[in-house]
Amino acid sequence: MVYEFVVQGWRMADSRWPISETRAAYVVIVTLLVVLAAVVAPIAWNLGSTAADDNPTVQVITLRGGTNDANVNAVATALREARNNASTAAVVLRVDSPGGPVAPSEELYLAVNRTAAEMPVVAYVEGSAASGGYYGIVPTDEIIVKPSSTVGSIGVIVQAPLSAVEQAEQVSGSYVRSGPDKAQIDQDRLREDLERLQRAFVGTVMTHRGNDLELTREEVANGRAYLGTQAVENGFADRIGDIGSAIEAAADRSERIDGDQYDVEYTTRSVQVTLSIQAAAVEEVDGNTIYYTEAGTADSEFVRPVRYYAVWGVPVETTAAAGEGGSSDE
Amino acid sequence: MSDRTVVQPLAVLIVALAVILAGTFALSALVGSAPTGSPDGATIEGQSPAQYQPEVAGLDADPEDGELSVEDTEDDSRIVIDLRRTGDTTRTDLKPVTEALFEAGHSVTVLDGTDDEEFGDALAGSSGLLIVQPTSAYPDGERDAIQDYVDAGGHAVIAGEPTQTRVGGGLFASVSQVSFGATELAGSYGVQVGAETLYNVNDTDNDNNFKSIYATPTRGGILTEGVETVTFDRSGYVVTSGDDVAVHYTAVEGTKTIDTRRAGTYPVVVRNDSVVFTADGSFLSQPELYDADNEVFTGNLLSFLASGDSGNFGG
Repeated sequence: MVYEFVVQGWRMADSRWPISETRAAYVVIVTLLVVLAAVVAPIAWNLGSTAADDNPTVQVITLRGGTNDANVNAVATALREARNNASTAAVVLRVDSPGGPVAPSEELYLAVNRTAAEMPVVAYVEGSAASGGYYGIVPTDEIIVKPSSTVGSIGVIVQAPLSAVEQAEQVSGSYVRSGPDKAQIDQDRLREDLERLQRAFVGTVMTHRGNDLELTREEVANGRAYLGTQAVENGFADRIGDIGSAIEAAADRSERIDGDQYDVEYTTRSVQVTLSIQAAAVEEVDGNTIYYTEAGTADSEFVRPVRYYAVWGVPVETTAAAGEGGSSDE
Repeated sequence: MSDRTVVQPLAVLIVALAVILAGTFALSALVGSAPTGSPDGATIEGQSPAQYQPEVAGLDADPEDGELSVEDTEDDSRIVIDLRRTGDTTRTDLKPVTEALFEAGHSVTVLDGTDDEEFGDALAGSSGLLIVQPTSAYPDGERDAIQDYVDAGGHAVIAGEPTQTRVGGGLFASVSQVSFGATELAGSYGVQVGAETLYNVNDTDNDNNFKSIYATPTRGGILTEGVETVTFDRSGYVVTSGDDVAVHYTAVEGTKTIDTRRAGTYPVVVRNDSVVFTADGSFLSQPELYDADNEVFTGNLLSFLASGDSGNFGG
């Protein structure tokens, strides 16, 4: 049967084309296929394995500047990419930030917290990681500082227009309001809200660093900033080192990294560096509350009533305004 | 050789090669990929952290209830309120106080520097004198008048304040110090105002701000009746000398001085016979008046003032 089929096929082929030509063509094709596959397959193999998991990577993500919306967004996006990139085995968060508004500071904390739940994250404090900046690095596995790094300054400031607090009742008299608390700022409420944010902040620090800290909750809540050496002593930081130490520490902590078989990649973005509490003129500082006169609101009917900050610093306009006053006299 | 002879095998070549490459790529990706951790979108522990939950971060604010009431006396009394040297307390701020006195049938004379009668004349026939946060000194004549007044049986309450920094506004930001000014007056009754403001960072021992301290009574009597806790918004402390001065309230344990961070038992309300001295005056007006038991304490102070009798002073 088989023989007959082959012979029939031979005959059919023979009736149309020369047998040798067709067979020769297939022989050439198969040879080509073998050669090409031998050359190209390793390349395809490499491409595939690189996409999946080549050398594991330590991703260095940098935050230089305030923990404002734009900066935190950039860092949170970089962290998300790191989490989704199969080759990223660990993250180093390189930080130089004096903090910023509370809302993005909390955002940063949650983004870092989420990343730290999936892979080792080591923080390296380049300049300062104070207040909102520290909020962001507190869930990391290790905090590495230089002697000149500044960390700590745990606490919250609320900023409200002085006129809005003092004259709330008179001003609101010119509007028809739907309820007694609508469009009102009350000093007691401000303090309560401030206290709530403060408790969440201090609670976060105690949750993540409570075992390392030599300080009591009260001492943390005092809001003092510490230099690197002191921070290592009191547990705000773990040890002294540089960015290299942080990368090594992150690699050591990753189960996926074997010895020094890893790559280092840097995520650098241009970030907004300026940090300012946007008050044109500071009217009064009372405890943690800053009352101010809003600048450039002549055209606006309404201003944002309160701003909550987790910053290490003082309102820039206090000194800036005084400086401007001095120069205009000259 | 026809076209088909070349085209057909070539097509086979391309298809086969594509299949081999795709297979290799897929196989390598499968073998090489074993991402640790869960992908984004999976449930991650800790994204609604315990320390963010309302029961942990929330707080119980002191209820602003209670009633400010003053005891009425057989003969309706008159209280003199001296605001002439006061920094920022106005007649309007003290409205709740004057209303309470009015309700109890007492009358009030407020001296605020506008069309005032002479100090001695105002005191004559009154039962009590309330001096609110004086920032400058009383002249000799007025100090003598107050001495005669309390010697004759009149009652006096001096509400002080600690030295504190205020940042003034405008384009030319200025920093100024506000301090208690009637040092000699207070000193003549064995009382001095302490050099520093008090604070307490313990969440349960302050009124939602480290500068709003709590104080509790140390003895019974008209000043502490019905009071469990008072809160002073910007309190100093009182330094006393001599045995004539009795401490009625001290700041709660753990309260410290803000500059030197010394913990101690700080007296904040003291009494020397007919003269009461408080280390803060903010509790007399809103928003502090109804915090904790401040309204009861204020009522007690006003009752104490109404119960004085200056007798033949000025007569």
